[in-house]
This record gives sequence, C-alpha cells and structure tokens, in this order.
Amino acid sequence: MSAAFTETPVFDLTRHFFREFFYLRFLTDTGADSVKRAIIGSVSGLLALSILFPQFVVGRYATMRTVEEYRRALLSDQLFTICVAMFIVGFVTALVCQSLFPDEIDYRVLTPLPISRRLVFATKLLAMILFACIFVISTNLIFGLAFGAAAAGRWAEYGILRRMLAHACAAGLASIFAGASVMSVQGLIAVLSPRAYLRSVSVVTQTAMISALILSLPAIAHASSYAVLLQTRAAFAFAVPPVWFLGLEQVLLGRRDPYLLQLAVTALVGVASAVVVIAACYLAIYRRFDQLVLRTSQMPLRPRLWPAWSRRVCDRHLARRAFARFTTTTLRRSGLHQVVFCSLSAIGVAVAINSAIGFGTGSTPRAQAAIAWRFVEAMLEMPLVVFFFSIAGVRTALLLPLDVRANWVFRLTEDPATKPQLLASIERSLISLAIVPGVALTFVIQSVVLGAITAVRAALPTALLGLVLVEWVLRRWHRIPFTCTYIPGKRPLAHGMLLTLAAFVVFINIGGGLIHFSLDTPGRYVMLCGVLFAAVAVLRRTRLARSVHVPLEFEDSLPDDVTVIPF
Amino acid sequence: MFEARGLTRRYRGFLAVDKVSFEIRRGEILGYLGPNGSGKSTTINMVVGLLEPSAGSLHLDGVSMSEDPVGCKRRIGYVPEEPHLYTHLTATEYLTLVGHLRGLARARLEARITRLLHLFALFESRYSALSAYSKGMRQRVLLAAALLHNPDLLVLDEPFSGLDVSAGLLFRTLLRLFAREGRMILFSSHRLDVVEKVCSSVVILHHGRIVASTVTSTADDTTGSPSLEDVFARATEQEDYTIVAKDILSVMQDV
Repeated sequence: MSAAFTETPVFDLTRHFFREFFYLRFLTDTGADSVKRAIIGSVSGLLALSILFPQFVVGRYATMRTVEEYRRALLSDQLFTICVAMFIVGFVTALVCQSLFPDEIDYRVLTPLPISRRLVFATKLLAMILFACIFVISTNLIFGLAFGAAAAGRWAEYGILRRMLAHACAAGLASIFAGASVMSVQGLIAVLSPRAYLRSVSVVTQTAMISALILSLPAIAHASSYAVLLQTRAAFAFAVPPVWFLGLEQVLLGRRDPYLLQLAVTALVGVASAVVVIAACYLAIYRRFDQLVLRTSQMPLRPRLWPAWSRRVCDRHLARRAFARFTTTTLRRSGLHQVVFCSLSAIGVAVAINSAIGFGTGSTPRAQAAIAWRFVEAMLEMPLVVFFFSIAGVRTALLLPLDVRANWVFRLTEDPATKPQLLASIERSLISLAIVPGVALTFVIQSVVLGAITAVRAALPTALLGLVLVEWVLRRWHRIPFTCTYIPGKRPLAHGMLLTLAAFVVFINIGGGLIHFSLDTPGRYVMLCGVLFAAVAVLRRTRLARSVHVPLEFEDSLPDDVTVIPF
Repeated sequence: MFEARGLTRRYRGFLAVDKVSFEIRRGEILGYLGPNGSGKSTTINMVVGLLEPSAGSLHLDGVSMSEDPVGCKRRIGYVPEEPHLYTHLTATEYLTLVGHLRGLARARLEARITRLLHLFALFESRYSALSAYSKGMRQRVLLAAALLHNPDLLVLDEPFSGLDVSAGLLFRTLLRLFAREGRMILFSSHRLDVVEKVCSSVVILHHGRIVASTVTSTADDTTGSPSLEDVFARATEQEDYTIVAKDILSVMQDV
C-alpha cells in the first residue's frame, strides 16, 4: 500500500474504527489476550471443519440414485447454506450494531480536530462495511462457492461455474440482506426513538435481535424441510426471506418460472429496501449527530411498589438488598451483560426446542413405544437444558466487569459479616433469572404436551435439580457481581469444551432419566426428591461454611498449575 | 487521632512510599502535598485500606487498622482522585448503594440522601444516570457519598478538581466546619493555594519520603520560607520553569 494513501485521514480513521470492533473495553489486557486466544482457537477449529465440508458434500451427491432425489437434496442444501450464511452475518452484525454510528468519545475527540463530520461518518461506515465483508466473504467462500462447486455428482444439470456463481450470488445477497436488516432496525431506532429512551430501547432491541437469531437455530437446522415451499409454490414462501434467495438462485441458474421470478424480485427489493433504510438513517443521524450523541440519560421515575412494612423487613438485610439492587439494575441497563445473559439463555431454549422436535413415527408398535418414551424424556429434560444454559448465562454476565476502577467503593466497605448476604443475593439472582423462568416456561409446555398432572409432579424434582446446579456453580464464588477483573478461557479451548459437554450430558441425561424413572412410582418419587433436597442442603451448607474464610476477590488470576507440553 | 507510622509500600522492588509517618489530631486538616509520582495516592490508598502496606502501621484513635480493618473503614470517608463511579446508576441509586453497604437504615438514609442532594445542588438531576453528569457533578456525588455515614476521618484526594467556584467555596467552608466539630481530614492536592487556605498543617512528599512539614496558619515551616509555594519548590527540588517553558516553545516552533 502506498505511503501517500496510508498517511491520509481516511486510512487512519478507517483503521481506527475497524480496530475498535475488536477492542474489548471491559476486559483487562490479560483478559483481552485470553479472549483473542479463544477466538483464534475457535476460528482455527471452524476452518478445519470447513475444509471437510466440501468433501462431505461431494460424498453425499455421489451416492444419489435418481435425478429427482438429486434435485430434492440440492434444493434443500441450497436453502440450508443460504440460511447459515444469513445467520452468521446477521448475528455478527447484531453483535456490533451499537457501533454503527460514531459514539460520544469519537465526537469529543474528533470534532475539535480539523476533519469534517462527513469524513468521520464515511470512515465509520467504511470500517463497518469492511468488518461485515470479512464475514460475508468468508461464509460465501465456504457455503457459496465451495458448496456450489461440490454439489455436483452425475445428475448435475448445470456447469460448475454457473452453479458456483449462482449460489455465491444468492448466498452473498442473502447474507447482505441479513446484515443490512439488522443495521436498518438499529438505524430506525436511533432516528425514531425518543432521546431519553434511545439507549435503553437500542440495547433491548439488540438483545432481542440476538436472542431471536439464536432461537431461529432449530428452524435453520430443519431448513432443508422448507424447500418444499418452493416445490409446492406456496404463498407462505414470501414470508420466509431465505426462500426468496433460493428463488433468486433458481432464476440465476436459468429457470424462468413466474413464481421463482416473483421470489427473485422480492429478494432484490428486500436487499434494496434495507440498504435504502440504512442510507436514510445514516443521513438523518449525520444531520443531528450532536443532539443524538450528547443526549441526556434521564431515567423514568419509578413508582414505589412495596409497602412501608416490607421496607422495614428489608432493613434487616441491607447489604443483601444493596447487592441485589446493584445486580438487577446493572443487568437491566448494561447492554453487554444483557446480551450475554439473553444469548446464552436463548441458546438453552433453542437447544431445548430442537431436542423436542423431529421425532418420527415408528413403523412397529415397539418402535412407536420407544419413540414415545424418548419423547417424554425429551420433554422432561427440556427445563434442565434451559437451566444449564440460563445459569451459565447469569454466571457469565455476573463475572463480566462493568468498570473495574469503580470497584473501590466495594473494597472500601468490604465486611466479612456481609459476605453471607452477598452470596444469598447471588443465589437469588441465579434462582430468579434462571430457575424460576425455566420452570415456568417449560411447565406450560409440559402441561400441554404431557398433561397437567405429570407437569406438576415433574416440577419439584426439576426445580431441585436446578438448585443442585446452582450450588455446584456457586461452590467457588467469592466475588461481588461485575466488580472483579475477568480472564475468560483460562483452560485450553478443547479442554473447556469437553468439560462443558461432559457436564451437559451428565446433568441432562441423568437428571432427565431420574425424573422420568421416578414419575410413575410414588416411592421412587419421594426418594428422589429427598435425595435431591439433601444434596442441595449439604452443598449449600458446605459452600457457606467454606466461604466465610475466603476473602472477596477483586482481581481475577490465571490458575497456578501450569500445563506442560511434553516434547 | 489518626497516626501513620513508618508507612512503606514496595511495588516489585520499586519503593513508592518509604517510611512515611504523620499524625492528624482531632480538629486538624492535614495537607498532603507532592509532585506527580511522589507517592501521595499510594499513601492515600493505604490509609483507606485499598492497599496493604509493605511495612509500617496505621492507627485510628489507637486502634490498629491491620487488626480491625472493617471497624476502621466504617469511620473513614473517602473521595478518590478520579471520579470512578458506576455511571449506569443515578445519584440516588449510587448513594443508596453506598449507604446500604455502610449499614445505614433505609428511612434515615433516604432522608439524608434527599437533604444532601438538595444541598449539593444535585436534586434536579437525581434521576439522571451518572454518565450524563459533568466532572464537577460527579465530584459532588463522591463528596456526598463520603459524608453520608458521618465519618471521623475524611480522606480527600484532589477533591476540588472539576468543581466550579461556588462549589469550591462551599466545600472549603464545609471542611473547616467539619474539622471544627473535632473530625480529622487528610487533604491531598496539587493546588497549593487551596491547601494553604484550607489546611492547618502540611506535609510534603518527594520520591516517597516526607521532605518537609509546615504549619500553614503561622507560616512556621522547616525551611523558614513564608510561602507554601516556596517551601514546596525547595523541598521537591523543582526545576526553573522559565527554562522548561522556553524549551516547550522552541519545540513548537521547530518545523
């Protein structure tokens, strides 16, 4: 790159804004390094898997017996890869959509400099486009070009170049549509929401979009079954954006069916509309940038909901109340913490939904009975799956620091006598944010599917298993939420993933199996509840007794034991 | 009385504070002066219990802070140098959090917070997040938080930074009256004029050691100079600022 270009403000500002996407302000240098290691590990793993993807596709299409089978499989796989490309780009854009526009720091630092506002906005947009392009291009290399080339076999109807270009074009436009839609929603909120509520609305929308995308994962996993919409010329297809792009791909391949043409036009209009909305929002925000950036953060007045006597009761546990209010207020107002908690909880719900759908109908009575048994067990495991991910979500959100430099107020008022109250408040947070919603949500589903009596009977051991998990998660907890520095990924990635997977399998399968096993026999039921109750009591007592002697942590540290690589 | 005896702090071989000793009697405001990096903030952090001293001891009314850290911390109010606050909270929420952590009962706390917010001219902004506050407003919140539990020892690290003239005058008067009630104040600052007007005595720190101490009201100092500025310049071996200023100008004009 020529020095003349690299020394221009455009290059400097674009590079600055681009780097900002990877800068994790809330972590210390050690924590950020740890995240980088974890990301490099994950990306390497995904790249290794992506090399296998074309080989898998080639093998699959080589075994097709008829042209009809090939066409069905191709259509399904085209839709699936389009969905995956849309999900990846949409998800990444939703993660960074708060950085769509220059923020207050940019405003305060850059405005006094002799550069125009136009330049600041243009370079920010350019950095955002470059960031999105990384994901659009990489997903389309794998799911666009590589899939287009590999999905051949002896029944292939079009040339390799045409297949590759058509699929890459459709998947590329689909991913651009997904990213642009997320950006346009965020842009509309920035323009239309009242100034006092802008930040909170923006954070809630971002969390909702990320959660919705995660909840769409079971639908993406079963995307191949929606290809039938195209074959049956269903009007419903116009409500499913990935199908628009599937229609566009068919048109690009040379099919001139009016229905497909209509879908292709819808896809192009969709992309154009999203881009126009983004441009309009950007222009509107550009014009009233200072008003938006230097907005007031007025909080709405909240009426008192609790009577005076309840406040007198609460006075007995002042510290617990302080910790609890600090936790709930932070979770309510901090976008980062909300996103982490809601995303992990949404993964739990998505996994639970996925495990409860897709059961076939057995051909023999014995097979039908086995499927019915497995289905009941999946329904009983559903709340445990939700607990597992929601508890992980709450725990991770509480671990992430807010502003480490502000923790002096807790260090100054640290009192060993209030530690039990702190632990009680964290325990309550986990129960109220993970266990109670998990039980309530799945109780309704279980009541509808398995019947109210079974749901009521399953609720107690399910809740007790949740409490066991809470106790297990809190066994070494010695920090005030959001106040301690955090070093994520202390274990090697593969080690951590294996442990999590093992814990998941053990908790879900054994837990679900025990509940199912105990439901029909009162003796077993009472025994299971008794054992679980005793386990909760013992774990809780041990934890509280041990915690009194351990001081609060304000600095996270790497484990003492060093992993030696033998050579 | 508050006493620091032989207070020392090492950071991986670097001696930040070296055998510092001073005392603050009831009714006294002790100014704690020194150039950047002299060890002022390290001393302050040890006094309020945010840092463990490597050696030496701290005593509040004869009680060792290492023996009863929680009891001593309950009697200390602290305003840090930088207004590090949880900026997603409102002023009321932040003060309530601090009050509850200090063990103040709700009814008394609510009344106290309301009155303090009025007196510190923050009542109108009580429902705004602290992120929307100016530096001076945040400083006022910190001062209100430090006074909330009626402390015996007030530790102030640059408390006037960001305050406007009227707020500065109010706090100066407040500190004098607070000390007159028999409380103790440790006042760390770069502002010599303010220290001279507020403090009854001053210690000057340089390279982690106390290099001078003076009583401001009588101007009776160890070096015999009448002005605190002169005492400070001599004790901390300050450079000739005219030469440095000329050097800066020459750098600016060097193209």
